[in-house]
Amino acid sequence: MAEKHNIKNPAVKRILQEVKEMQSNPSDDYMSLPLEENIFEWQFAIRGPRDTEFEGGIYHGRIQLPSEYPFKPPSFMLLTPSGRFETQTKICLSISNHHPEHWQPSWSVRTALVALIAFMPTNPNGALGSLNYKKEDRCALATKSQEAPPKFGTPERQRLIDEIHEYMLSKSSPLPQLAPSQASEEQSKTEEAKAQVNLENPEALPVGAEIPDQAGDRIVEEQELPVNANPNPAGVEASMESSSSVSSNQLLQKSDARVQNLKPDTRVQKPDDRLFTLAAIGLAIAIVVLLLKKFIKSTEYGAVFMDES
Amino acid sequence: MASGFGESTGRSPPSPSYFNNNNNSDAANFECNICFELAQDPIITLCGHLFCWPCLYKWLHFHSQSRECPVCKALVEEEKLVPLYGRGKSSTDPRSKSIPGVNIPHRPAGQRPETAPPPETNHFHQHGFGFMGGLGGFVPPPMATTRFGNFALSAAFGGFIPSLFNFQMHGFHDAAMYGGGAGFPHGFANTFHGVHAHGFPLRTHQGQQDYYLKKLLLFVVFCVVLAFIWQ
Repeated sequence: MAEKHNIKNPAVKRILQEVKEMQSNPSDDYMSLPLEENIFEWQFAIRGPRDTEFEGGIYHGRIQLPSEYPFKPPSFMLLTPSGRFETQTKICLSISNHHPEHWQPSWSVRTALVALIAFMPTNPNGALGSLNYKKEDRCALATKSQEAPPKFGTPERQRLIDEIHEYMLSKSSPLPQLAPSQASEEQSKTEEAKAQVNLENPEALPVGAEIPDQAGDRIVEEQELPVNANPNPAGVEASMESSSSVSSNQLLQKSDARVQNLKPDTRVQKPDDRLFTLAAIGLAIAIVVLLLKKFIKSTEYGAVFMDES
Repeated sequence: MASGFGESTGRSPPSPSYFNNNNNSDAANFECNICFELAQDPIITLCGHLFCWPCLYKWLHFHSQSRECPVCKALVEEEKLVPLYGRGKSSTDPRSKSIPGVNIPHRPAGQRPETAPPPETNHFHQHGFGFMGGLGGFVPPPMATTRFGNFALSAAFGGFIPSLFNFQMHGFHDAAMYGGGAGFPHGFANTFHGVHAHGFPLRTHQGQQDYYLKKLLLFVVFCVVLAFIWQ
């Protein structure tokens, strides 16, 4: 695959790095692969987040990377009906090309898919390409999405979609899906699904750990804070706190130095210091002796003066 | 599950020569946050994020509207960027040539502080000199006793001069010489000035000794003042 592309193009090199990373660290929550003939065209599938009306859904989509990637954001299009995003329409997100001013070059397809999963349960607020179906309809669409992948594009692209769908199905349950023709089978399926959910819960932690910390956290943060300017004051406050702590440390060090100066007795005396101090004391004693002798001399001189007068 | 894995691995894997940098997972610590490769002409922002200089230059000058960090959106000032100098040779960047018409300037230079002061071996050497001066302090008493036998005032002054001189020798390395009887008050002023000049360095470098020297110095000054009164 690499031989077919211009390896000197920085965008191609970056995309190849992302492909390698995706293949070496696969995730159970999403899967993404580029087309053979055009590495800037990707197919992806995400799993609906747990404990939401999208649980159990497998949603396919398409990603178009720009030629200036990673300096320009990609565009995303959902192919499976979800009740949250329209199909066959580019969706409006802070990670898509509708808002190039919010894009960060350190984000990647992986972080974008994680953000897309996180955006599923949010309120669309009338954003472009968003839908606001009822919960029941979303649950029905989620169940229906497992049956078959959507039909889209060329035969090669369809083959890629089928491959991704099988991967997602293999990750969701070890048994193939059975036709829901009987009520008892449906009940047993529901119970099995719950058991699988319980089993899958521990897996959520390692999956979360795989997310690149900074970029992933930042993208998820944006979902919580619609206004992008908000994180900046928090950063400023953090830097102010760190600077204040540094200055307080310096003050502590200075006060410690003063305390040490005020307590000379606690210090360990060096041999040189001891001898030096003794020499100084001896010198002082010598000066005192000289003064005493001079005092005696002056007394005698006074007596002589009185005798003469 | 097995079939899924088989199919995914069945795809043609990329050539390993293009991913040699990533064979070692520790290399990720030194990869550019933009091109995901080992940083070429590595440069680091004040917020601590590492980039290739060409990648960061393109982002700051052609794509970013507010000159923000590509990772954390902190403000990036080019005069505060710090380059990383490793052991590798500095080679021209082939990527800048791939984009026609784009001339990427040289990476900003590091901001080198002043050279560090020499180690404290010199201080110990000076300390030894002071010690020898201290030994000299024991010589004056016999000479003074001999001179006092003459019953002469000038002889008494002569007795004091060696003591003060020796004290300055061991106390302050650059002791100044002063004249005879007429110049004695001037010598006293010099002594005081020397004390004032050297008080602070002594305090910072010799805590306890400085404390003792201070008390001893006050006592000596008191004795000298008494000598003047009885002059």
